Amino acid sequence: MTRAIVYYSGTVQGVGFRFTAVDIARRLGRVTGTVRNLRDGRVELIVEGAEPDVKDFLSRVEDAMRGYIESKSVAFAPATGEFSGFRIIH
Amino acid sequence: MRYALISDVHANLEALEATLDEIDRLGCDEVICLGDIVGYGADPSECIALLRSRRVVCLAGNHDFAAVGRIPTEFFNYEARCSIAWTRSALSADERDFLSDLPLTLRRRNFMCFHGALPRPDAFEYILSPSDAVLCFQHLDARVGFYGHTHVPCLVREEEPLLEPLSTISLDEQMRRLVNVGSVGQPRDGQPLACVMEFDSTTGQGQLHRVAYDVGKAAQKILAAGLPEINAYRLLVGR
Repeated sequence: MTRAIVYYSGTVQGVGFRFTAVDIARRLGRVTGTVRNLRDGRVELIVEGAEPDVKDFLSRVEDAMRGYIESKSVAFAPATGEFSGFRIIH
Repeated sequence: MRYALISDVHANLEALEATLDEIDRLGCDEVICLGDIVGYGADPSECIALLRSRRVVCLAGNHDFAAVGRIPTEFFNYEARCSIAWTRSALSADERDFLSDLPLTLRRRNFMCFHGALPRPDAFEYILSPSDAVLCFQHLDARVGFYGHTHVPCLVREEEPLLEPLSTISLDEQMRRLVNVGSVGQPRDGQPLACVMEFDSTTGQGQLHRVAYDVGKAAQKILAAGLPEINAYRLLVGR
């Protein structure tokens, strides 16, 4: 199991990014994590699951938000198992 | 005023007749059709005639404009392109004029209607994700926006824009809603039942009704007309 921590920059707040991530996570049903708006205008997304599922999830999110994301930074780490679902945090 | 909102009839006369019967039972003041009267089904002329005779207010859908050459079909799937070609040959000049003149949006009291999405109703884009919905809300000049196009009924709340299953709506003072009214003639939510949305613009209350119709007869007509077989089979399963 793996954990991805991703920071997205661009026009990523006020465009439904977090809800899109929740929607995709619910449909896939195989990943957990959180998504939140940062004060500096970026979106932070933390996702855990089997590596193919995490990559599939990130690919779907980035495809849905294509046109809004200008850049991203991604770090992978071992999963912690701390999440019970996928939700928006503040 | 009590409205009945329908969409995506797709030349399915059996579904349209059953839906209009249900609307009569509900006793609505005005019926609004949110586009795609034709395409896929075997009775485009009959559906146009019935909608006109019942004074249903009709908006344009992508299949309507494609059938009269107002938009290209290069982005349609194979079955849809075949259906449009068949429909073009079935329409009279008067019916083509009717489809060609359909408006893209409609405004009534506290709601507006369109086929696909805002901000460009003429692009016939889809609301498939919360980000699509947020963009639509940014250009929605009303408390509620009714639309169709995906054939899957759903409700989107502005404060939490997830695409949720639709059964009832209840407008409050603050928050706005997007409501996909589903499809009359080719529902794709797994239920082979026509959709009609009843909405009271005074109380802000609305309810989705599902209507059984003679699916087998509509499917048989599609096969007999030589339209793509998938157009018939998908009616049976509602996908």
